[in-house]
Amino acid sequence: MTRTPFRAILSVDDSESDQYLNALAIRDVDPEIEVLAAYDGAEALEILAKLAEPPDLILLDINMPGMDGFGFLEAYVQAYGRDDASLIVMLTSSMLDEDRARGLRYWPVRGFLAKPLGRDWAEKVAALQGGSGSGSDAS
Amino acid sequence: MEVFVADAETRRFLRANRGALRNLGYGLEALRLRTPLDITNPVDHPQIKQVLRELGAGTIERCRLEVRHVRANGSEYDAEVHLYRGELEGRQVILGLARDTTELHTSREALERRNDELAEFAYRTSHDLRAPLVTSGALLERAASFLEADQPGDAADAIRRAREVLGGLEDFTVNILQLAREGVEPVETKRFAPGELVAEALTRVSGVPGFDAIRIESIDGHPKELDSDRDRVRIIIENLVSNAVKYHDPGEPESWVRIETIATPDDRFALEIEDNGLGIPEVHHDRVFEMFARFHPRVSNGTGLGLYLARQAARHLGGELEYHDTGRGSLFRLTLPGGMEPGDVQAEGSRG
Repeated sequence: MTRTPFRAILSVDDSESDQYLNALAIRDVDPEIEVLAAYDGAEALEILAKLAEPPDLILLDINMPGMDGFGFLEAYVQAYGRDDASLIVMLTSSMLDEDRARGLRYWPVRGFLAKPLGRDWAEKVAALQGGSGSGSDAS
Repeated sequence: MEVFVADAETRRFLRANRGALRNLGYGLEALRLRTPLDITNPVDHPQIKQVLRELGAGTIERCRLEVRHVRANGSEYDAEVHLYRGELEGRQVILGLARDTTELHTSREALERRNDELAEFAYRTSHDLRAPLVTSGALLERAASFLEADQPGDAADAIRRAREVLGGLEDFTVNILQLAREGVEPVETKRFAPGELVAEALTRVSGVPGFDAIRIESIDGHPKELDSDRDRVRIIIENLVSNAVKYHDPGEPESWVRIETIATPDDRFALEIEDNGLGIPEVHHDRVFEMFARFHPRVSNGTGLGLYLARQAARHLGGELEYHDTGRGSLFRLTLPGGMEPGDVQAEGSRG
């Protein structure tokens, strides 16, 4: 089992099943990581506002009813600066270039991973972090 | 169509047809004092000057331009102009044929908008078809791992989730098919009792978790039969009944759904479905009937197509489907043409 630098991760996804899969994949890597779940962008912002410390990673879905992934990013960059922001990785099943380009315009977004989150997510996130910032899913 | 003749040398207009004078708002005498530059937007002047020069010199014989015409009153319109070099009564002239393309542009914009909607539809559809497949595949993989690790309870849980996701996918494909048919299938009118459809819809949702705890109040205030398209009315009623049941409020001590058929004073058929469920947040009230609008992702993996489809169907039948804010839960009201001709009433009377 790899040790990861992650203590808390916020998973933002409207699908109950994807939340379940995210939590399992995170636990595979490190059962100590605290997993927070939000079902749309607005709920994610509420949860973030209540936390004393920002989570180390935000896994963000794009397509969500209510406030979607891009709506969340728009609000997020208004509310948080480079000192108190989390690393954001977008999860998507669309893999549309437009979506990628649009997501990467927001500075906290480090890259994209294909849904569902696999057991190797931590290495992939680390690769995105080490990358040029225009990172994408290697698989 | 506007027709102009201008002197190739002085560039002043010599003649114009009635259409040109009417569109531009000039009399012929007033137009004769002007050149093409006086009836076009300055933005277009460099290009017009060059074209007139070349036509005058004979380096080109004809050309086509898109310009903004300026009326006598200062207002403007888009015009497509064809210019030809010619000779009239021994003089070198330029003949212009112009067409107001405002309408063309409006319909092109409408087409472009429609195209954008289609692209959005294709994007959403492919996402909503692919995402559940990917997710259920991953869930089944998890189930297999749980079985290998001798955790049958967890495996069963993962399989249950996969089935739920696939059930949602099935609903989605059914809705897409209904939507495709809704637009093209002709309305087939036949006589049926709307109460039957309510009963059928209730049977279909009886398996929804929590159904047994919901008090269903069904009032048949429109005991007459209805002449309408049974299949479309069924789709509408099924959607409304299923929403009322699926989106009940688990925090509510006593959930209820009221389903009432009504004969309206103007002899139309109305159906009201009211509940004290989760309702729709006020900020989303204008989006209730929008395609792909979903409001309670946590409760149910709805397709976001049901209410859109139901309203389309209602309108197709000459009726309407409306949402009313009651402050708690939802109230949907469907109205349809009654279809009860005086002869029909008599026929019904003689039967009963």
